[in-house]
Amino acid sequence: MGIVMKNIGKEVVSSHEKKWILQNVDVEIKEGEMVAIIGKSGAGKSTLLHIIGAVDKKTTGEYSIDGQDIDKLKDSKIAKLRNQTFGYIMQDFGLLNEDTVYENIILPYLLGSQSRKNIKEKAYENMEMLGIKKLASQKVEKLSGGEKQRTAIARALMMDPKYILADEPTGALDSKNTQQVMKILRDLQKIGKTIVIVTHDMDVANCCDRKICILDGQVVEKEKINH
Amino acid sequence: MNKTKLWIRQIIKNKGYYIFLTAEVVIVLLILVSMIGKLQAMYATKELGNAVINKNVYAFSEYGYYRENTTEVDKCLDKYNIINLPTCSLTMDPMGKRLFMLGYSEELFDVYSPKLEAGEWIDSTKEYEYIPVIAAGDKYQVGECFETEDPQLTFQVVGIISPEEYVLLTGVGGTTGYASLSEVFYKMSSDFIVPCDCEHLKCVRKEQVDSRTEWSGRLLLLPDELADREEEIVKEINQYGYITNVKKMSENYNASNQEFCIVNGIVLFVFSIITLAGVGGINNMVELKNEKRMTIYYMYGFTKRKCMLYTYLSTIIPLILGECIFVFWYYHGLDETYTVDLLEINMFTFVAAAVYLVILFHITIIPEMIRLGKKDLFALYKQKV
Ligand SMILES: Nc1ncnc2c1ncn2[C@@H]1O[C@H](COP(=O)(O)OP(=O)(O)O)[C@@H](O)[C@H]1O
Ligand SMILES: [Mg+2]
Repeated sequence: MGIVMKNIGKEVVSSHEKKWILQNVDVEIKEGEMVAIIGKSGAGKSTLLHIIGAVDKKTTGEYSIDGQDIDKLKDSKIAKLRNQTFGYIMQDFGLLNEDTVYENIILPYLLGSQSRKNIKEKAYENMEMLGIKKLASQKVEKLSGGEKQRTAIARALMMDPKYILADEPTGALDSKNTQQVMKILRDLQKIGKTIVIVTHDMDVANCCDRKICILDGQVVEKEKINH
Repeated sequence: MNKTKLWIRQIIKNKGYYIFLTAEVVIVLLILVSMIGKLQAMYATKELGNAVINKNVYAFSEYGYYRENTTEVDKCLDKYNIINLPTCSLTMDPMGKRLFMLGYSEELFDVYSPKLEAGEWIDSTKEYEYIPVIAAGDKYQVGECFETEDPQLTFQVVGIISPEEYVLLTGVGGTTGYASLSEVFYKMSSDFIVPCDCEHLKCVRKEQVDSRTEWSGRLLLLPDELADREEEIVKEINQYGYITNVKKMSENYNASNQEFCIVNGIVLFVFSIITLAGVGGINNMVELKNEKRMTIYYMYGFTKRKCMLYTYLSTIIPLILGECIFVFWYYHGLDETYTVDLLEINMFTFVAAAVYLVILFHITIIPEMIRLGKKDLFALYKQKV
């Protein structure tokens, strides 16, 4: 069923002035797809991803996720979506700096209400896959950008989410690590996950099934974006 | 369960702040309890001084040496016709039920009269049919008589005193010139006040009781005709022991109460401010560090309500801990470690102190909660980055 958005708009107040940072956005993402959201910096890509991930609220429009209208869901249901359905990789990583890598990675599990076995094993598996296993007990504040990014990815995968929403997931990585992360994401797609990547790296975008281009808060045809 | 663990881990990480605030809570509680207890006691004892009718009543206790050789002291007292007003504790078992009695000498009834709930004080000039007693509490009624196995010991209740009332008891008596009333007044803890070894009044006699404890201090009554030589006589008695006028003790008592209230009031004020600042500081500290934490908790699975509850609990924990420690202490010997004279520590004092602190905490917490409640947590996250 996937993600269906109609006429999404987002209005914000910046320096006492209201402005629309997203307008008339129609987006449809089917289950199992791997989609890139591309556009210039400041175009509204992150904002769109935040609304998809139910961390930010839209001002107008309709959004349904797997057939459920998000406006009709209770707060606790939406929190559960954030916890279990979406695996979020924030552009700025969204890590707790004074906590360790391990503590950050298992956080979604601790915040949720599901009890699962082998949580520790799962966390170590993820760290192993991303090559940060030996950093498990390091505090995040001591990590490099690339290590932080990989920690954020490991956390996003923790709850086996159906959707992986990645905001510039390779922004802090060198090309070798970029390839490695893209391989991980593609492998996840192969086992049925739906993946949405915000990026301005065309190589990354080209790995995806499809691109959604954003320009000044609106979805446009690909040709209109000159990179 | 996981969330509790997460919460506890977060508290342990900031344990320094929490220990500091908890200690502060305990200190403020201690000050408050002693303040309120003192105020309660002061209220209960505000008329004590007036209960001693005669102004030339003195509390006296011999120096150690004379305690064993009282003849010299007695000689001196006899010389001036000074009247001894001893009090004693009596116990007897007249009807298979142990009675605790506070025995007063005859003259004491003339110079002293406490506040009664009902009936009247024992009148030393009156002819009573039975031994007159003042009963404590509501177990007896005025006029009620009760007999004992001993036909000579039939009592009649003539007055009722509250068991919360403080009564004269020559416990130590005038240890220094600065002695306070609290040395000769104690809470009524006997069943009865009864005349003991009197000349005119029907009374209980030494031989009739199972046990008798004379209190080590005495009250002395200077005859009125010696009033103009009072100073000189007091000086002479002072050679044998500590002596203080009861009226003077009453003044001392009031003065020391006043001092206590001023000093503690200042300390309390300072600590209240420190606590307010401390709670506010913790809030800010926890908030600043935790606001980002809360926004991340929000993004990865908490509702806003949960974030608020979590923050609230994190702020309130020193209060809960401090009060728990205090309650534990209260039941395990706070009384012994922290006894100010005439201090009342009871449930009321504690509850009043606890409520004060709860209010103090919430003065800083509630605005914070309102602020957090109004915010869009994700917008807050974006601000922080
Ligand atoms: N809360 C906000 N208040 C004011 N302006 C905002 C807010 N959030 C985003 N913006 C602005 O909206 C635009 C789009 O932001 P964003 O979605 O982060 O762009 P992108 O991820 O494509 O670089 C930017 O110009 C940004 O400054
Ligand atoms: Mg962005």
